[in-house]
Amino acid sequence: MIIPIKWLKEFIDVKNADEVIGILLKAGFESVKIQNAENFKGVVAAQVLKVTDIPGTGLKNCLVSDGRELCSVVCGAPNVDKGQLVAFARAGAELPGGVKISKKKIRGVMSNGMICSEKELGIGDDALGITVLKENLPLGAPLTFKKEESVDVEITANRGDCLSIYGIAREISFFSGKKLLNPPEFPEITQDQGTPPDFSIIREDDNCPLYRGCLIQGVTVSPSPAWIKEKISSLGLNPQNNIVDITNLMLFEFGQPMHAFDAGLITSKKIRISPSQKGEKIKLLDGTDYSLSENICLIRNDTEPVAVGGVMGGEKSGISPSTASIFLESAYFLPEAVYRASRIMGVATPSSMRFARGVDGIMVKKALMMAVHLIKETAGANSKVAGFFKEGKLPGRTPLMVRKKCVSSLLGTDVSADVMTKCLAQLGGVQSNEEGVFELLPNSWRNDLNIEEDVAEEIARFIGYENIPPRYPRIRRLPYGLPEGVMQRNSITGKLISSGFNEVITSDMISERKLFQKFTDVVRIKNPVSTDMGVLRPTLFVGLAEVFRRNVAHGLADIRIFESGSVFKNTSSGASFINEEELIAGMASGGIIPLSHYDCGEVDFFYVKGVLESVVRGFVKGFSAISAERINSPFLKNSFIFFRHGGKEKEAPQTDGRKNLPFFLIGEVPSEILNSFDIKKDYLTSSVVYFELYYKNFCAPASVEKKEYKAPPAVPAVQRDISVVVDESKKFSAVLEAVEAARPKYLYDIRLLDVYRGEQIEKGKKSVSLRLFFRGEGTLLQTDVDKEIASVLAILSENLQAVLREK
Amino acid sequence: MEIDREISRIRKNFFETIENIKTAEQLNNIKVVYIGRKGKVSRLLRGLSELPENLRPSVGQQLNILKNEIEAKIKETSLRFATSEETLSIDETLPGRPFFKGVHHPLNIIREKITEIFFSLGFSLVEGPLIEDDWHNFTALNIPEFHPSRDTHDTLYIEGEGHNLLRTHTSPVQIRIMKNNTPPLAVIVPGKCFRKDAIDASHFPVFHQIEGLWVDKDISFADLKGVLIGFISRMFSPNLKTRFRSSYFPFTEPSCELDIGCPICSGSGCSTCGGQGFIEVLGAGMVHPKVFRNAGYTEKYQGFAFGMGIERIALIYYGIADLRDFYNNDLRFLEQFG
Repeated sequence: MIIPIKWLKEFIDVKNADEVIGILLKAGFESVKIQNAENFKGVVAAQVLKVTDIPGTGLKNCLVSDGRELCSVVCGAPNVDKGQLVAFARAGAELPGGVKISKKKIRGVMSNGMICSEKELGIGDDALGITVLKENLPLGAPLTFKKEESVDVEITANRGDCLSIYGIAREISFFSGKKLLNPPEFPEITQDQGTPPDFSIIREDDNCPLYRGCLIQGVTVSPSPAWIKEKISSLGLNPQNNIVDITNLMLFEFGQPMHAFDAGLITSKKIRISPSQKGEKIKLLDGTDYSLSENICLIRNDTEPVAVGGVMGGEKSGISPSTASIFLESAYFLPEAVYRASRIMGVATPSSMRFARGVDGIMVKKALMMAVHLIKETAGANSKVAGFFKEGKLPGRTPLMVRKKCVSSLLGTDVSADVMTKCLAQLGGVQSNEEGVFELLPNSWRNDLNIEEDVAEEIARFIGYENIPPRYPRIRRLPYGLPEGVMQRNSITGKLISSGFNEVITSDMISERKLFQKFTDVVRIKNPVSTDMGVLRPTLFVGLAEVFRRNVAHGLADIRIFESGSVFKNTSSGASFINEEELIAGMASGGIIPLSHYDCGEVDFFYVKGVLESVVRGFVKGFSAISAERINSPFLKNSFIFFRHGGKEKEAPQTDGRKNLPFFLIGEVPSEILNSFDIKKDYLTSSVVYFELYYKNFCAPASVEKKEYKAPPAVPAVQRDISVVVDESKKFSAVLEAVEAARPKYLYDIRLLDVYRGEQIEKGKKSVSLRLFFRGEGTLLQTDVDKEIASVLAILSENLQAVLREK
Repeated sequence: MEIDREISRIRKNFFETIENIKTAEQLNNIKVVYIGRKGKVSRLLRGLSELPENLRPSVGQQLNILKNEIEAKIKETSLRFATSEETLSIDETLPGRPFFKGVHHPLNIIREKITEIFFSLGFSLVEGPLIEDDWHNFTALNIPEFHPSRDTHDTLYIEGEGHNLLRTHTSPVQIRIMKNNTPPLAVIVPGKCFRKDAIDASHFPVFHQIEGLWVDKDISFADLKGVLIGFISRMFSPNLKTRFRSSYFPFTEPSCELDIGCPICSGSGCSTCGGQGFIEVLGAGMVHPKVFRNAGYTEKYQGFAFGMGIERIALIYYGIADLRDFYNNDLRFLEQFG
């Protein structure tokens, strides 16, 4: 809300905008100064010495003196006259809007400058006549018309009482201890003589507990007097006419919204306040047709809606130059009702803003009287108060109990009874029948004081937040720190980072277009920021591909990125259950290490698999990803999901149902997908590999996965290498499974040394070389190891028709 | 016995000869002469089987001891040659084998810094869902459907039935925690939040908050100040000015905002603080009694809550001008924080 400082000074003694900003900031309102820099230069006071008409032009040739020289100036204003002190723009002067004044010939007469109007100086709207200076200025004195300073204050949603100039003055007074000056005197006006009019108010909606109005006849709608215009302009509004300007004055000065109807258009002579029916229509003063939902408080010309209560008047019954009688409304609408109407209709007005935050009930009558008084003063000699009307009453308020003990406990500092008394006295009527216990009936404008804690805040503000001494923590609870899930996630992201992956964060909201219709059950946003953020991501792929594209475009080729985030999908159309699942996904391309003279190879499927296996091994001892399934994954080719597998950890309980949970997915991004995401392939040096890590599936609760301690073995391992020839179709996993099926007693690890195809091997077959590691309780005998190898070879031969290759 | 004498002679000869060698080549020769396949010791070892059975164990043992002594001496001597030769043969200025290490996202680095500080104060961490319902996000937090305090939350709603929305702040997690736990409790809640904001240098529709909540019988505004001053001094500097200002949030009463002296210009006014010398960092307040009631608490409790934007803290901490940099994920930007 705009607070012009000059206007504010009518109520409280403040120096300038900066002081006001400082006080309001402490009070809890942020505000900014509106800079009104001088926007003209080279304009001085000058006197008009002689005025002669320039024949046939309607222009005048004026001789002016600016104290330095005499100049002849051409002027078209009808009001220019000899002897006037005027604002004279010398040649070289600058006016608002970048206008530069220079000597020039007008209709054959040399003009050495310009005599300015209000409009030309940017200080008013009058463009017709020149500005005649009233102050007694020396000739040649530079003019500094300054618009009044003002501040724009952001009022918090609980303080409707501060949405007025007077309200701000009151708050500054509470906060700074400055006295309120000239409390406004509200006149008591009575009906002018004559018969009471045939006019009535029917109140049928409790969303309007109190409705007051005044019927004024014989009014002349005309421009407002200068002082009102000046005030309205200082708010940044355009003055309209005396009636509208005066209702605005009441709204901005005292926070009481009012509405003036053209009484001649209330043809039924009945104002009915009743809720809307669904589908009722009304055209408001903003020129828009609204179709209403139900239960919005309407003001009606008997049955026809003429205004939305507390929000805006209807176009049809508004004030026009031909209006001869008005009905002036001043009412109290319930905050929630007005906010609801304003939200549903999508209209916010200065009036709805104030009602929604709560207006001062007492002001309903006072402001009405003030407005009627001003209208009578400005609306012509024939204007006459034909009658006052009132229906309903203000909602009652109950006193609050405020206890010294409770306030002190809440604030953590001992508040003295003296401070309590002083502060409470400013907030309303106080009674104290018991030591340290007060009863407060808050002032009518303090709608925000409803519970003891509200008052505690006022007391804290009164003391000053800075004067409450801080106390340092003494938490009475065993520390718990991080939940396991977060700890595990942190440990995984840490591992990925030490493997060279960079963490990125992308938006959860993405463009549906980027999904290329590859997903069903997409979760859509009803009111998206833009279509680029229209759906919740069903995959982390899109965000990563975008980041990948941007970085490739910067000329980077060695890119390794990952994101930890949620993906979303609709699981049922009914009660709209949305599944929100956390996972980690990543994308890699380029050299395994940055360019160097050491050859370290390029990123590929197995590089990523190695990283992921090592991540999983942190949680599942001895894990190797051999249980896999080829899947059709959107955006990928050669994509596989890897599952938990018994592997070396064969003793994992089968009953926990985790055996077939997917652990991760790896796939290559084919070139047509790179194209769809505009990823420039020229820069890439390797394939682009994407992965998803379903870490919730392998991060079991620590209580289950707690690592078991074993003393390091006392005897060294025995190693044996074997090479077997198997059919090309046999996968490595089949070899491992066969070895396992032999249930070896001493074998504890197997490493793949080599896979060989070539001359020495029959076509369609491959040689697989393994290194086997054996260990027993004590030193193993040759024969023990030989026996175990024999049984392994037997199974390999039986299950896979494997043949031991002679070296 | 002859064999014993032979063993002592070999030992004596070996140790005399090895003292005089000068090069690795000579050392290698000695190695071949004594313990090579046809060397002196090896020959004797092979001849063991020809000795009478009762002598074999003791002679075998002696020979093994000798062999070990010789091997140890040769190894020791070889170290002398080896080190000096290899020093000459490497260019130690060649680059090391490069190692690729990634970096955490700066927003998560800041999140970790913040959470670490609160852990040290005794707080624990919890998380909550990103998709919330109207009740948890608003109503339970004393933000009724038709109240102007909703104006500041430009909410994104989910299509479909039910009042599902993307949470506009981390505060709904307050309700979830309190519903399932009784005080005393002290938690922080980091996480993503969403608002329908137009994108500019200081707004992005996705952002991160950290919520804090400490509830017990008698936690007061003074505790709020102590915890937050403690946090600021550890996060930025113990000498930084702090300023608690009155404010309004529907779910706290009394409410405040915390400003800190600008760490970039130390209060003299710069572009980061808009020339004010102070920067707003977070909002806080004493938990509103209605929030306790909505969380199902019937006993009287007292406590405070606070919420801060991680982006905001990160912008201040690093002096970053444009928030969009966090979401562009330009690796040349991210790498600077590793």
